[in-house]
Order: sequence, then C-alpha cells, then structure tokens
Amino acid sequence: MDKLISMIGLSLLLGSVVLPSQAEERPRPGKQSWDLFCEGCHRPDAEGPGAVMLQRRFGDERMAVKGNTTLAPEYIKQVVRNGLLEMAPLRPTDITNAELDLLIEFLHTK
Amino acid sequence: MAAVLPDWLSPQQFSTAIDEMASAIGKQWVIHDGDPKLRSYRDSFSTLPGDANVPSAVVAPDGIEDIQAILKIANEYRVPLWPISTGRNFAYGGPAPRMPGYVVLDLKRMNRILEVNEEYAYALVEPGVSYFQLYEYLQKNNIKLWIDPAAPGWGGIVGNTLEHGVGYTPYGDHFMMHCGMEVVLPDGTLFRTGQGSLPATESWQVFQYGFGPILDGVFSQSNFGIVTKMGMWLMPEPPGYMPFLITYENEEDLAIITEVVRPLKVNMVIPNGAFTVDLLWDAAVKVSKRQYYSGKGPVPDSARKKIASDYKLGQWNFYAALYGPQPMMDNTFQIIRDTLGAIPGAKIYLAEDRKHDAAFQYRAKLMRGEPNMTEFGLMNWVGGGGHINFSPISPTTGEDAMRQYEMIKKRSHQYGFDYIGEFAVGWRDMHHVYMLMFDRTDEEERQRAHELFGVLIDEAAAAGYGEYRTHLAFMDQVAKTYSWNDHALWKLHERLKDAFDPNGILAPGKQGIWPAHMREKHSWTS
Repeated sequence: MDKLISMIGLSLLLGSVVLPSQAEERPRPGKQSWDLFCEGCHRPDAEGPGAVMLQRRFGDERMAVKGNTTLAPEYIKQVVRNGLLEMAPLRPTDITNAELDLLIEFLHTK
Repeated sequence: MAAVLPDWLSPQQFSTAIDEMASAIGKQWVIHDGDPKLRSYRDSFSTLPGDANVPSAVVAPDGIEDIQAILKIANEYRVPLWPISTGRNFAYGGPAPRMPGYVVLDLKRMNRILEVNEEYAYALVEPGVSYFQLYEYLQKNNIKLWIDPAAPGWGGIVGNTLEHGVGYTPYGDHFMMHCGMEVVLPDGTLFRTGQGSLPATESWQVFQYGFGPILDGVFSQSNFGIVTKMGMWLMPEPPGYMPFLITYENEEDLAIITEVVRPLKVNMVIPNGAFTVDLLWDAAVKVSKRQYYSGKGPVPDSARKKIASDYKLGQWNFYAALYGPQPMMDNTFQIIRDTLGAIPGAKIYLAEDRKHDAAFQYRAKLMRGEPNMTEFGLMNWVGGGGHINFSPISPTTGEDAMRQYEMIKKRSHQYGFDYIGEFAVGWRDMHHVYMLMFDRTDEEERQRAHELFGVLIDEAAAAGYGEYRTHLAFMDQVAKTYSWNDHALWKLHERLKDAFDPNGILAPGKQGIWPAHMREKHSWTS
C-alpha cells in the first residue's frame, strides 16, 4: 500500500502546508536580485542568452558579468536602468537604487 | 524635456494631480518631470520608434488604499492610468502605455505571496509576483507543487493570466487555472469574485464560480478594473516526468503532425501544451543568423539544411511531455511512438539524448514548471532586440496549420524577414505564434516590420484567423477584425466601459476599447 501511495503521489493528501502572507526582505540582498532579474540571461553557459551574446561579441573572458570586476559600477547602473539592445531596463520598482548598489557589490565578488 | 500630456490636461492640472498622488502614496514612489527613470517604462523591443509611448509619469502604489487614493485623484482630474503588474508583456508592449502621456500605475511593489496551500495545490498572489519569485519560494520551503511559467520567467503570474498567456505543463491554460480575484473598480469599489464574496468562506481558491454571474473574464484583457489579488491552481509534483522531442525532415510534414496531434490532445494522451516548433525558433537559441548567412533577407534553404544537420533538428520539431508513474508513462509513450513516431522521417529524442542542447533543456524545464530565460536567446538571431509576436488562433487541423504557415512565411519572406514560428496546441485550438525578429537599430527595417505586421492581421482575419493577443500598436486593428454583426461585441465593451469607468481613466484604448470622451477621435464602432 505504501508503495502504491508513493507511486501515485497520494502522499500529498496526507499532509497539509498552508503558508501565510510572506513579505520579501527589503532592501533585497544582491544575490536575491541576481536570482530574480539577472541570472536567467547572464548564467555563464549555453542557456544564458545574455552570456552567449557577450561571448560571441567579446570572447570567453567577457561572457560572465558575475565576478567581472572590470565592469564599472556606473556602467552597470547605466545598462540596468536604460537597457542595452536585447536587454530590457529594470524599473525602480524592480530594484531600488540601494538594491542596485547591493547587486553591484554581489556582481563584483568572485 | 517636457513630458507629452493627454490633450485634455493642462500642464498645471497634470502637475497638481501628480503632486496630490505623491502626497497620498509618498513622493519616492512617483516618477515624473522628465526623470530619466521614466525611460525604463518604454517598450524596448517594438516596431514603434524608440521614444514612442513613454509615459508622462509613474505612480507605484503598495496596497489597496494607495490604489483607491490614486483613483480618486485620477477621476477628479481625468488622468489616464495604465496599470502594469511586472511589466514584462514583451513582444506585446512591455511596461509601456497604449499612448504617450498616460500615467503608468506600476503594481510591482505589490509582490506578496499571500498564501500557498499544498493540500489543495494553489497560491494566492499579488500582481507583482514573478514566476521566478514564486518558484524560489516553493523551492525554499520544500513545497512539492509546480508553477506553470511563461517562457521568460521574469514575467508575472497575474499579468500573464490576465493577458490569456499560455504555458507548457498540463496547467498551461493560465486563465482556466486561476481561481478567484480581488478587484478595484475605477471608482474605488473593492470586491472579490466567486466564493471570495462570502465573508466566512474557505473556498475562494478551490471553487471558481461562486453564485451569480461569473465576472472574472470581464477583468482580463480589459480596462474595467485593477486586479489586486488572484488565486492560481498549481500542479502537484508528479512521481515521474518524461519530456521528449520528435524531429521531422520536411516542411510539409506540419500537416500530418497536426492531424496526429489533435486526437492525442483531445483525448488527453498528451497532457501538456504540445508545441510544433519551426527549425529557426529552435536553432536561434543556439546560433546567430550571421554564422550561417551574411546576406540580406531570409536564410536560404541551403543554410536551413546545414543548420538542421549541424544541430540534429528537423524542419519541424515537436515537443511535449508525459507525467505520472513510470509504467503509465511507458504505456503512453508507446502510443506516441506508434503515432507521432510513425510519421516517415521522424526521429525521437529523450532527455538523455539532448543533455547539452540548450533548446531541449529550456523546454524540458518549462514543461516541468521551472522558469528560465533561455528563450530570450531568440533575439540573438538577428541582434538589435526587435521582436513582436503575431498570434492567430485556429482549429487544430493540418489544413489550417499549412495554410497559416504558407501565408505568413510568404509575406514574411516578401518583406525580407525569416519565418520563425511555433504551433501550440492546447485543449482544442491551435495558437500559432510567429515571432517577427528585426534589428531595431535599423530604422528602415523597423518600419518594414511594422508594415508587415499590419498586413498579416488583415490577411489572417480574411481567412478566418483572429489574434488572441497583440501589441499595443495594433490593438485597434485587431479589435476591428472581430466585427461580426456590425462590431456588436466591441459596442458592448464600450457600454461596459462607460458603466465601470464613466470618466474613462483606466487604460484608455486597451484592446481597442476607448472611453466615451476619447471615442470620437479613436473609436471606429459608430
């Protein structure tokens, strides 16, 4: 019986998880902003379209933005706020200026 | 530079209204007066000029009271508000308003996950919650429920559902899977749909219909109210999962693939969204056009054949998945082999065959509810960021699929663009999504893309195909094609608009529905 329950996923019905209202931690830590807004495109592999394009244009060493300390904070802010070609801008409601500073700090860590 | 304002508002009236809104919700959440941050509300990818549709201001409330305060002021001064949730409706307008000068009502700050119920498998969320956010929340709390993300995972659950978006798991019809809304009307009235109107209810997110007329649909793709909470059914994690790809060698195979898919979908043998994907859509995630062709216009057949060979792709590539206990999946997969796999030239691939294939991997993730952004790689095909989606609906027949494909491909090539498309089969219908990719930095190309899109709308409508969704710039043109009985449906929309929003402040022109005071200038219904 245990096998059957586990096999068809009925174990879900035996327990209940109801989680109440959850507010995000704000200002959002840099890692969290990276996860929500950056990593999808800038993960440094074939599934990250931003990384793939940077690699095609500038070579392997410029593929990753995470850990690239040559990217000046002002430049990052400019691109994040204005977008660049295939990259859409992030709005102040996506990421505040204070959170953008935390994100840049995170990007500059290896 | 002075902001463009709606022509019925003086700079003084506008300024007073914005000051009052700032007093109501906090001046740090109001952007105006030529602030460069307003540019982040433009549509970065459209066929319109770069600065088209820039708002005059942005107000970003955090809660019902903020919204009601903003609405009161907007009604007093007749300020047009353009609500957005996460603002990622890209290819259809992104965060930009329908007309320049509107004030964007940015709901992104309202991003609370209010409840997740694992037993009944649902979540109750605010409009600012993105797919990535809900996914991470479920992962972090070890909740065995799947979301059904749109292809770009930074989009939002409420916004995508209200725009009739589709996904890739068996819960892919998002509006069908929503359960319960909370809505603020333009006059500030707050109400809940379905069981949510019974004060002591615990059934708001488990029963869709309530008692009396079902109003939820009225607030989708409309400008009648602001949805502030929505329930969404989530899929319990199944005990097994088997994504697969079947490639086909010839363009004309689309007809037989579609004929075979229809009974497999209608009889629920394939439980999730079934996608027949054109060669270039799949390849563009992995290669740029210039790697295969440096000339102008669409890639020639010789290059298409080389791409197909290099990446083990077909001219059409069919993706779907099976779910459940292994013996059930094995049995069902035998049906897949005997049907879709029996079409001459078909090659079947499972996950272990395409471990290093980014296109297979991102679809495999989407079909198990794991959000990602890999499909954005399509924009690397030509570069420059331009893309806009043409999305006609039809019955799921081989004849319709070929007719649409040939019609759109012919026009696309005539205008110098590649055909990049996919056919998504849901419960009965087929969504054909043609992604018109263009170099937005090339002014002439951008304008040519715009012209092509307009031609496609009218040709598709003449053949009986209407779009299920469209870009801001084409909302009036598409609305006009739904003209049965002298535009009776849109005339009804206008009557509803006048009843819900007599001052016409909410998203004027959304989906071609104009308020009374703008109708003389914009509407075609009378």
